[in-house]
Amino acid sequence: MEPDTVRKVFSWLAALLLIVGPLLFPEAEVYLLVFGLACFYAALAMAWNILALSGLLSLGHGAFFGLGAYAAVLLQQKLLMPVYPAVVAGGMVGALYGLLWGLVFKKLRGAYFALATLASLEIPRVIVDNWESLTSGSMGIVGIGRLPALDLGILTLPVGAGLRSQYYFLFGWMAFVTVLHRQALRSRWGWALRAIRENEVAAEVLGVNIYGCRLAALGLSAFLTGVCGGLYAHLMGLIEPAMVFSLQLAAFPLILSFFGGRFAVFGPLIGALLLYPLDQLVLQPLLPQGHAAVYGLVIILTIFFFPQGLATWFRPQSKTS
Amino acid sequence: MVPATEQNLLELRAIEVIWGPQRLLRNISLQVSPQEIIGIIGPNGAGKTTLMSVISGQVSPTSGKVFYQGQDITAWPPHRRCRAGIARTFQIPRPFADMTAWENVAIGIRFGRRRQSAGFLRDQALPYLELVGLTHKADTLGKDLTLSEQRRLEVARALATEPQLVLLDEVAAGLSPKMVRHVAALVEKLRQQGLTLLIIDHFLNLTLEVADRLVVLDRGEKIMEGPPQEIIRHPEVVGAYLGTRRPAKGPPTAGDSPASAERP
Repeated sequence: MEPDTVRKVFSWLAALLLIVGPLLFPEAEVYLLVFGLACFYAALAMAWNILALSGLLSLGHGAFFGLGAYAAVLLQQKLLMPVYPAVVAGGMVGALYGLLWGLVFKKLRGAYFALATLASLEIPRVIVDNWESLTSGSMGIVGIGRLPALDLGILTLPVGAGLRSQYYFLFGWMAFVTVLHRQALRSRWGWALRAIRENEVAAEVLGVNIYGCRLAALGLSAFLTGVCGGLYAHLMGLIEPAMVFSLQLAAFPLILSFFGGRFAVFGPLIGALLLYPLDQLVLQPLLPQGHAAVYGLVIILTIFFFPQGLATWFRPQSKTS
Repeated sequence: MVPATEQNLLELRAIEVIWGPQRLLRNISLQVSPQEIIGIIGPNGAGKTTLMSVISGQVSPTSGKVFYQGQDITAWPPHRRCRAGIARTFQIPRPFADMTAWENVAIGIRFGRRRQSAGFLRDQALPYLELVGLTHKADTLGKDLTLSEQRRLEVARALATEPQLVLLDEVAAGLSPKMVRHVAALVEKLRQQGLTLLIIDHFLNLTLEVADRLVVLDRGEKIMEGPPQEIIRHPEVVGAYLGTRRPAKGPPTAGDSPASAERP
């Protein structure tokens, strides 16, 4: 068989297993939980990568995540907003902070941009930590309910009713973000982002609006990350500043994207769906104390041995376009 | 203020560029008619590339105005100027390193003046590669091209934006006499298609033949402007090139250029 056929068969089987598997094994709760969260982190990784595709690596996406989480929860508690609109509004708060980055960090590139984003992760964290009357400070907010049923018009999805429906919801969210991630690679806008990350000056003299395209990437990336933050609050049932405004959460999508392949539509997704279950299902039982070290190891191995990411193995060897 | 004249495709008015303690351009004014070919010459550091960057939008002048087709474009960003029909190449090539040659050209097709949304971009890119003799390299990555091929790719990419005004920065530098004749033929052909060209030509091996006018810059000032044959005989020009700061490799006296035969 052609390697290309093998690749296709393998991909379709994996997709089929992810979709049908939960129906066949409804009792496999640990798997439903872990793969549901893997889908969640896949969405988070792709959201991060949409900005990275414009040539800017961020270390501060935890800011959008935390703002999205706190905004979603506080809008529900203080303004009695329904859950899903509040989560979307949380994404918008993240996007607003992202657009602020766009204005303030307009001239920054490379390591300077990364450091600035890292610093700007601390600002909302310190504010949330100290504004105790609103956010209850470092105590965090506990007792956040599970996600309620999602009414999509034609069908109502009982998202919080069980791990299986939660899994399907997170799978759907991942699929939605994948479509946007694909746009950031393959659409006309995707071509513009590619030109920008390869050579900004050449891109602008060829008619690419570098600032506009990059701002769109930043806004979308921040919005999706903010929505992820809001969902996270409901998945975990509690939030505290150190947990959601964390560098670890900011770096996680970076690791998954590098591991899976930053320039492939399914790269970050493959990274998340392989690495997170590997960590949670295989390594954690073996090494309950040090299993998270795998991420550090993986990123080093990735950089040394396949800097283009795992997805290049799943791709035919012809030219990318 | 005097309105820009419609007959000029491009007009620079009293352009000054001050960069820290340096004055890179001083009081430069220039008028360019449609379908003109203008050579910009001058010693190293004269401000030739800076002048080009003021026109293409990478450098904002400290004072002065740029008019294009009668519109004041001084505040326009580079991509907007490109879409209005101004294209440029870079002396040090800036290819999209991980794109193939045809994809490099496709960026110009997609985002330039035509703003084409989709279609068979590879087929549309090939004619531009053919113009510069790179058809056989269409599927080679930008980073795998030789320096001379990357220079030619710059030209193909610029033309793919369907410009009206093309700024060429040292396209003929380091080329063999045979290649220079190719470039000269291409430049003539573009003019006949209605394009206007501004060519930086430090070694004078291209513009002496094809230019209608030469503009001589020295230390940021326009010291002279006129038909090539008059310009190169002028003592002040000879002084600017040969005078105080003669570079080791030698100005336009090199025996390998067609220009050398014409020099006094």
